[in-house]
Amino acid sequence: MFPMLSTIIFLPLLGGIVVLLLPRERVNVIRWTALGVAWLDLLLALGVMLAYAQPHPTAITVGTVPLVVGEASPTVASVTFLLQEHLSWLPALGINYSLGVDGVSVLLMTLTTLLTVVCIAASFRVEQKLRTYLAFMLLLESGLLGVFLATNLFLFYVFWELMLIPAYFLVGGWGGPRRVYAAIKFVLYTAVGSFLMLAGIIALGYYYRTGGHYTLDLTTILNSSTHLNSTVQLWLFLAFAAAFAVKVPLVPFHSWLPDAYSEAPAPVTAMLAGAMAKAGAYGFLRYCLTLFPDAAHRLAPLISTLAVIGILYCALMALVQSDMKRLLAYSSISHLGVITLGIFALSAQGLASQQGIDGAVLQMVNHGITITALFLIVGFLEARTGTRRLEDYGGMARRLPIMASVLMIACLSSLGLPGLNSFAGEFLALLGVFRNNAVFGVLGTLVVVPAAWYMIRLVQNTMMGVRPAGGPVVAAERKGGLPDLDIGEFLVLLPLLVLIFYIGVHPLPLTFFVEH
Amino acid sequence: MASLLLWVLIPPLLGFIILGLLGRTLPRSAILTVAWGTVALSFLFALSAFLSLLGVHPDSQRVSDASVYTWAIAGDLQVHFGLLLDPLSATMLLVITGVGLLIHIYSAGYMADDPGFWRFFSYMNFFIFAMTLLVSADNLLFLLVGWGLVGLASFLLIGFWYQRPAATAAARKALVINVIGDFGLMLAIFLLFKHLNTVDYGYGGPNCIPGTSGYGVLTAASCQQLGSLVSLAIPLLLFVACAAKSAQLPLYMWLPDAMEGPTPVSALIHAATMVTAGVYLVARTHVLFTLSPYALPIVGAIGGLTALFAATIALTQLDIKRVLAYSTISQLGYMFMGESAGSYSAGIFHLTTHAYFKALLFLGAGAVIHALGGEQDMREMGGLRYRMRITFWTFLIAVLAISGIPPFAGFWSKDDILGALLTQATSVGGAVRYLYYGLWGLGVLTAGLTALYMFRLFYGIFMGSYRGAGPLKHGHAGSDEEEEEEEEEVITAAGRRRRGESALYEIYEAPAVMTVPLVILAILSTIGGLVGSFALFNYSRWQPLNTFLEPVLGSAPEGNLPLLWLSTGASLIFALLGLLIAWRRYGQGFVYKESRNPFYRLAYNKYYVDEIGVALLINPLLWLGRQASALLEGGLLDGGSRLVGRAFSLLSAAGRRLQTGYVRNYALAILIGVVLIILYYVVRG
Amino acid sequence: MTTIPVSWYLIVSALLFTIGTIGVLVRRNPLIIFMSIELMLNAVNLAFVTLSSYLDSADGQIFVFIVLTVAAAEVVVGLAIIVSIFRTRRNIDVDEMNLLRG
Repeated sequence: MFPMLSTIIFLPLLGGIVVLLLPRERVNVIRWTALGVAWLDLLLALGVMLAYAQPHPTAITVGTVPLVVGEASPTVASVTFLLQEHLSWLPALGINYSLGVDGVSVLLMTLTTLLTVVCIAASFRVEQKLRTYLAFMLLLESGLLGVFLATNLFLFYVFWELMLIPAYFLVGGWGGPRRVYAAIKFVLYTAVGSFLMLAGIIALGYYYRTGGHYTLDLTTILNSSTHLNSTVQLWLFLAFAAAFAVKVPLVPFHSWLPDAYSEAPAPVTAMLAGAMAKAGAYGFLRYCLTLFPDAAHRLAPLISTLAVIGILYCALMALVQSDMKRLLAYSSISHLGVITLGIFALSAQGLASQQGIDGAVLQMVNHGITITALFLIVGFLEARTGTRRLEDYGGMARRLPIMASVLMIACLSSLGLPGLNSFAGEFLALLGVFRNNAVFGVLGTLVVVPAAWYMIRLVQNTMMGVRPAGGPVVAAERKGGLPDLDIGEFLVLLPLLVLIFYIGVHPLPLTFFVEH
Repeated sequence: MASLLLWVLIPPLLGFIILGLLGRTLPRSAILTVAWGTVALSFLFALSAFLSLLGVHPDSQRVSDASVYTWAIAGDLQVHFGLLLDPLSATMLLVITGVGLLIHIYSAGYMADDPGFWRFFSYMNFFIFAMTLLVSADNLLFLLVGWGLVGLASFLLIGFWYQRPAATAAARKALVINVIGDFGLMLAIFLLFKHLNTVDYGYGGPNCIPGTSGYGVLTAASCQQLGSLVSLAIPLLLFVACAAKSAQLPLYMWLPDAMEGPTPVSALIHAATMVTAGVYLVARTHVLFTLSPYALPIVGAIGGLTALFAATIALTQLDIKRVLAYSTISQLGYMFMGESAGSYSAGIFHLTTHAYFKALLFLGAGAVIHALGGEQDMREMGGLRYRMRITFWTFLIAVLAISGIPPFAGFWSKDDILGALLTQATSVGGAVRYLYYGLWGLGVLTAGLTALYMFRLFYGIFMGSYRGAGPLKHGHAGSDEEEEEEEEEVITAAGRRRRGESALYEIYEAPAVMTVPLVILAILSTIGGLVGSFALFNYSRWQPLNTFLEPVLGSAPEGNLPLLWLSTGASLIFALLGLLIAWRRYGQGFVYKESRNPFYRLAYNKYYVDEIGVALLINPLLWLGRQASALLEGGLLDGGSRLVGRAFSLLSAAGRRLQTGYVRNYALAILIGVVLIILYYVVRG
Repeated sequence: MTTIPVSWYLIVSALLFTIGTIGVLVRRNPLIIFMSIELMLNAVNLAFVTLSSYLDSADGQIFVFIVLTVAAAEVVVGLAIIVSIFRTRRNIDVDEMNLLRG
């Protein structure tokens, strides 16, 4: 069988190498090659998505695995993935090259490829060390896709670290004035988390060993009859959660995020917030919840508490930021809290809530779309005026009507306006949470109020109100450097806008993927 | 049948899309064709839906539910986008599209000079779409979608002149407060789903009669299983949403500020339709409100307090739109009082008549503001009856209607509410009785206050002699797309050259496109009450609205005749008293005197609610945020991670000494190590 | 003829190794260091050969050939480096070669 998933993962990597080999002066060739590779990958991912939507033998996805406490492994007969690929690598250590998809990873894979296309297209203004930049972007895509598609824990870890490398160089190499500080902080935070996870993975392979051989294949582990005792589960859960909590991030492990997001160039930030943050949430869902159901049940209140604190605290932070990117960064943490809350909406018996998980996955996709649009628009604004401070703007809608409309739509989506995409995800996730724990449900839902406030503040302080009398914006305008969105920029945002409306009106296909 | 409603929804949505995308390039006539045409189509379809309902017999079969598509399936949650046609939604749709069409027509005149003409109509079409969606949805989730979208339409239209800081602030306030309502509604839906496993109203098939049995949140049978706490929590959470949308205490603050929007917006959204969504929601979900003995009394108490509270503020305001805004709040309180007495049809009845006369009042005020070039201060008006005959007469009808003077529309609906309250007070037992007596008293008192402030407004605008200095030269229509906004003040000052009679002749009646809707609404305000009941005259065969709504809302408690007359008499006396006082004080024209009366100052400053809210809630919150941003984020977390980094660099600075860089030092170390290891094994044997 | 005991060979080998080690540690001239390393390698070779004949196994002899080859290759590379350093710096004192030091 054709190794479809490997092709999807490694195509960007190869594309990146090709880009590096192109002559430096042929800037347009370089750009279009990178974009073409990203497009090709998106098409392949869409093909897989379509194939997945066809009726197929029961692939049991994370969402439908009943997590029953105190019993050996899920009660479902077998857990399988589709389009599996398997190559032995170091079988004695349980390390294999195995890939597979289920509904959740299909969605996140497609999201990643889409966001890469969008972010590479949005990077056409980058001049400095273009080839390296684009190669890193493509490498980042490869790492992310590997994280979403790997079904062997060690392979997962390899990709998990692989995505960190390009992210580090992209933040540290092409960012703002404090980029080095931000990049180092980012790497240190994430590295500490992932080393703990590596220790956890090794321990897991040890506990699930069969006949002296370590086992790290997810399908084998989930179908195995071994049941870890709850203390072991607790420690392993915490080791894995360390990596994911930093990546998502959960408060108080989020300190790297505002710095990294605000210093990185806009398309990179969009990739980090849109796709990479989902890797953490995906990890919680795929690994913490399914591998350690007892521990998840015991620790769900803790994680949920952190998530709720993060939701409300970061909403408050977003409310007082004056830097647009920092505002969006905090809003991003706040929204990811809702996703985490949905994933950990376990009932008193430790069963995962179907609405919670559907909503969380839906929201991963939605947040990816919306936050990418927001960061890109802010990036476009910053590219024109050189400032991200809200105080410098005002009344731009007159000068930039299209950009104002697009920003408005993205902000409305972000604040969860009913009828747009985020509403569907947030509603389902919070419904799941509320059903199983009313307190977390109420507190989580409360976020809609500050969310509306800070998002509207973003729109109004930039696009509405009185135009500033002086400052960088007026200076840019005098120089004629304040044009509205050009056709290229608009086309970059267009797929995101279409999805914002489509998913809001008809989220059924997405929930279908999660449940089948 | 219900699929007809799809055709009510689609035209305004299409209109919004066409105008939103292409409006900038279209000529005015094309914009108007699209905007009017779509709403007219919508109205026609609503009318045919209404007529098709009338054709169904018996009455209890008048319900039709059409599922359009499946929105999402998540576990045991299934949400379908479905349209519900029943007497309640048909009535609401008629009011929304009918009044909406009139206001669309009117706006062509009012907004004629505005550069954002296309934008305005595109938003207005969007509003019609959202509002029709709200009332025709057959489940709570799509009601919530409509609920949110009307909030957005309201936000966009309040902030229509987006370069005015006051308008954007008002829009923000409206949106945020409305989102608090959405929060309540979401929680109510969560609770319902948690306990009943569905969000559908449960008017399932064609034979499923509302309120009888079956699967759905509004079916009495399934609701019986809710515990007492939950059955109180659900209606209260729903009412949070209603209070936010319908501007009840304590979430009313946004509505007066919403007057920053263009006046047709105030007429359509903030008087006739959107703000009554809360009243609709209570009527729609009344089954849930009757589950707990406390729910309806709480609704009534808040409604009554709001009615009185807003009326006292309306007494003192000078801006004519603000007077009308507080009056709207007060009348909405009335509607909730009616519903709290179990007479939901009285609430809906007042909703429809209020839609006519309050739209008329706002449009009349708009005509005045238009004629005066944007002047909204009553002190600068007076004597306009000579120059604006049509506006004058139609406004008078509306004022009579809202004051409850027979035979105008407001009299019948207000009377219905007060009668229902008194009936309820005499028929229920226990302490709740006193509450309803109190509410009735509040209602009667407010009726008097309403007449007083409305006639104060009427005299202020139209009677006496003209006190202003002619129309402001610079149009009301915000200098939206104009460069020199700062010059407005200069021109205004220059405009006030002459005062009094000579300036009066610069004022002209509004064009026909504006006055025709006024006349139609005036006719409706006059005869619109006749669809109510004539129980007062012991004649029960003619009460079309009640009969029509009965399958959905149930029948209101029957009152006895002397009691009804007592109620009517009392409210009429108070109304006439109010009228009399207004005539005595303001009959010769409005004179503004700075009053030192502390109560007056309190009401004039709107009881300082806004200031208190800002000082107690918003500022502390923002202060907390800033402190946390500086101390927690900057100090603790960022500083903490720096500290860890510093600790490690100190550690490695010490460790670095070992690295001399001389190979032989390392080799020596290796040698020593090897020797030690060998020794260890040698010694151990 | 009495055979020389194995321990004598091993003692010689240990002595040679120690001399070589001391040479590496105390000398600064890379040429001398190289010679000392050769001395150490040959000490090891001696031990290999001794034990090979003692244990009647060819393995030790094969190792000696590998060591000799590697040592030859190492000397070639090492001398080349030394020559090129001398050409650029006119000095081959190892303590002065600290360009890579952080």
